[in-house]
Amino acid sequence: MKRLFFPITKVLIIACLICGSNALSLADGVDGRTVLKNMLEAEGKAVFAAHQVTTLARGPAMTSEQTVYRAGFKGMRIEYLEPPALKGEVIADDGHVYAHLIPREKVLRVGPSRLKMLQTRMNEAHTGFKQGALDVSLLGKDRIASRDAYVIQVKPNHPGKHPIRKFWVDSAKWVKLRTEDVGPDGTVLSMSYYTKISFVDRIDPDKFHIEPPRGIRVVKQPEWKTAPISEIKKIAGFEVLEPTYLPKGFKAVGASLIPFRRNRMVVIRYSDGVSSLSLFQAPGRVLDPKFLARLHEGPVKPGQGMYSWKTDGVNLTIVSQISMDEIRKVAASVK
Amino acid sequence: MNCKELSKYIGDYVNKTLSSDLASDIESHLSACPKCAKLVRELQSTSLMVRSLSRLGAPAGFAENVRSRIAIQSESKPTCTSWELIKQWLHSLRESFRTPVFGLARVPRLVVVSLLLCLVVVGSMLVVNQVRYSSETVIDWAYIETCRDQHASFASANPLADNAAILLRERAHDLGGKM
Repeated sequence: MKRLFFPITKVLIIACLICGSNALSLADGVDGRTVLKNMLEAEGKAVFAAHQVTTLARGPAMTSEQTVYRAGFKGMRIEYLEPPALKGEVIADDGHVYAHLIPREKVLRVGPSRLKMLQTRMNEAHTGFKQGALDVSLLGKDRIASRDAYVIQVKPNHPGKHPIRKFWVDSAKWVKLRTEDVGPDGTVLSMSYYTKISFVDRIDPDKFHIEPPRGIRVVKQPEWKTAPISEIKKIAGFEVLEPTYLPKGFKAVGASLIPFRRNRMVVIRYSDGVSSLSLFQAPGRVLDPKFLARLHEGPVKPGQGMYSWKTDGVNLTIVSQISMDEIRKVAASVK
Repeated sequence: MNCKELSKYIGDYVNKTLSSDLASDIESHLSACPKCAKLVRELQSTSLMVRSLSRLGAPAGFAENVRSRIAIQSESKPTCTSWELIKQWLHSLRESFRTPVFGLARVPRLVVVSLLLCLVVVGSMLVVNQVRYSSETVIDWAYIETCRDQHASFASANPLADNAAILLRERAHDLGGKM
């Protein structure tokens, strides 16, 4: 009897601890899942102006300050104030066009709306959230930009090393006031937070549009649409490869054909709800012959979180912030 | 780590005398900064070339010869001013040019070292130029930047992403070492 009693007690204690940590709810009855659900809903509705600080701790380490205007999915504007190399740059998105003005380079980069993509992927987040793909915990309360906030932690709901994202969410308006990316080793990789925020009824729609000033060259970025992989395979014009290995929790989100040098390349996108991975494929004729010659010698790491290699006449590149070991495993499984 | 910080440690990094933490910080910066990566490659290839030069052995009896000369000179001239030393060196240099070319045993060590140094400097300049040319042409930057931009748009469209950090990282990559 005694032998049976102890294991049962242990199991009960562990179960209580797990439930307690995952489903912590504060005295006001709010739990982590409710905060996340409300935060996702506020993403498409909240209207505000704010001063934001962003810090990158890894890769190119730097800090930036910006003025941010946001009107849900209808508009976004970011005006860079610091560092001096970015001062004067403006990003505007009116839900149709994404424009980035870089006065120093006398360029206005124009491309498809990122807000529209955000809106499209909101369903993906909701589905993942409902299906339990995300592990959400409420860590407590804090105060950011003179406002009360709930602190939640979100990570993919599967075992293994993965980055964690922490959000400080306004307890009245449900807007995320601070975001932190924490690596598998516990170090903070990046953070963004508002120092001041003013909720308003309306922001002039002109704020979300940039008319190219005189002397500024407009550079159009290619348009693309996301489709199922099977559809893209039919129209790609070359054999599209897929990995047999993906990091735990990662699933294909879709694929796109991207115009490039009067030709096109294919990108297949994967996500585990928190991190993203893009697999690019281009036929040999599209790339610089000297780069192709280099790829013949073996894989290349052309930048942080990037890995390029060549196989059977197709040139491939993976871009992701997951570990390089995992990127290599995915690359080795592509057939 | 940024470009300025890296410049402090670049020599130690090339010589592999840094702690593993600092080295991994540098490696993560190098993977993101093509300019610094190029500089490190240049230094590494120069250092490799210098190390690969074959060692010149001194002729038999060279050391004994030098020691005995020092002993003789120190006995005859117990104190020497700097000027006298320079004069001696110039004199020995002049003497060395009078000796036959293949009479290396009598050529002062400094002349051999100077010649070697010139060879290394000229050689490394040639190698650096070669590396610079090849590293500029080896990566298809237009392709790589398109991949990076495309991934950034996809990643920033994740409702759970830190959009501001992704946008800043994108610009930081564009600017490279200009920040």
